[in-house]
Amino acid sequence: MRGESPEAKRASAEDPDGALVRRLQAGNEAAVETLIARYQRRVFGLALRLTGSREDAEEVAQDVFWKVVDGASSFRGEAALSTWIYRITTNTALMRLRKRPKTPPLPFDEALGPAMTEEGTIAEAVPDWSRLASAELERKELAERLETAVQELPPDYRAVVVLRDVQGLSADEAREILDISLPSLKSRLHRGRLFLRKRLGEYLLPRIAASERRGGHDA
Amino acid sequence: MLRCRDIGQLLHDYVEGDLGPGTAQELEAHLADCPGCLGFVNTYRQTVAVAHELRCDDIPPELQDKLQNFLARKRQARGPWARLRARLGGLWRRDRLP
Repeated sequence: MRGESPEAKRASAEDPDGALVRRLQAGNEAAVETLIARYQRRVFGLALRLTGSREDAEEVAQDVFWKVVDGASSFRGEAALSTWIYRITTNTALMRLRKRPKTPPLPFDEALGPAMTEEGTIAEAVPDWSRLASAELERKELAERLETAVQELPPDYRAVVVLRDVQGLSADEAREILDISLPSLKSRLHRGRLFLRKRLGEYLLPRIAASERRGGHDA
Repeated sequence: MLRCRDIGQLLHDYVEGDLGPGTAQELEAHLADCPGCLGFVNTYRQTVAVAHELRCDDIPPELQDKLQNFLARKRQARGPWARLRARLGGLWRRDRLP
């Protein structure tokens, strides 16, 4: 940047988001451009996985960047800028989801996993489709099926799964963004994953069985 | 001795690497003898792996321009006093930033 002192340049290199916030707070026009360039992928990606719609994700992104620019003066730096932006994105997307028809609640954990006997042992065969999922099916197709299943999750579960497993944030980051306890986060993530696993199995198993039948005929 | 039901309860922590070494060993000993639980754990892990692939890399090419234009319109509509207030607010709180 022109006219920047060596100290300001060093501070910017050491803490680029801190420097960006200070520039936003000073009303620097170029800082808005930097903010968008730095965060648009993360904001749009998170909004897309939460809303399931590119159109909604674009609108969420607009709202988010406006809230960040407009509210920069009140940003106290108690959380990282990225955490603040993720939180605004999640809340804005969840607000939008509240206007849609409600998704049914998830069943209990054990109803999502394999059936158990009274003694606590597995009561049914559990087909291991994990290797077949990589070998026999287009990975893209599988990801599309999973994306559909993510949209079936209730919003509170969806937010946890998307932040942790899709966006790859740590448990602490996700907990801070969602303002929930670690046990709540773990419980929602586990049940969300069980639900998605169930859906992938429902999709894969008939296809694998059909493929095996075809293989048998060919032989 | 862990039962299949215990595996379901420990699964999250096992996959996250949060189990103590003793419990993890017990769990793995159970998996070695229980194809059902092994299938459960493998498919759970695979679900997490596929979810990682959903990360969005294809943002609309015109998104940056759209966002910049949108923000420019909003800032214009906000008026000079609000812009000044926002700037002064920034100066006021600057010392509290990281």
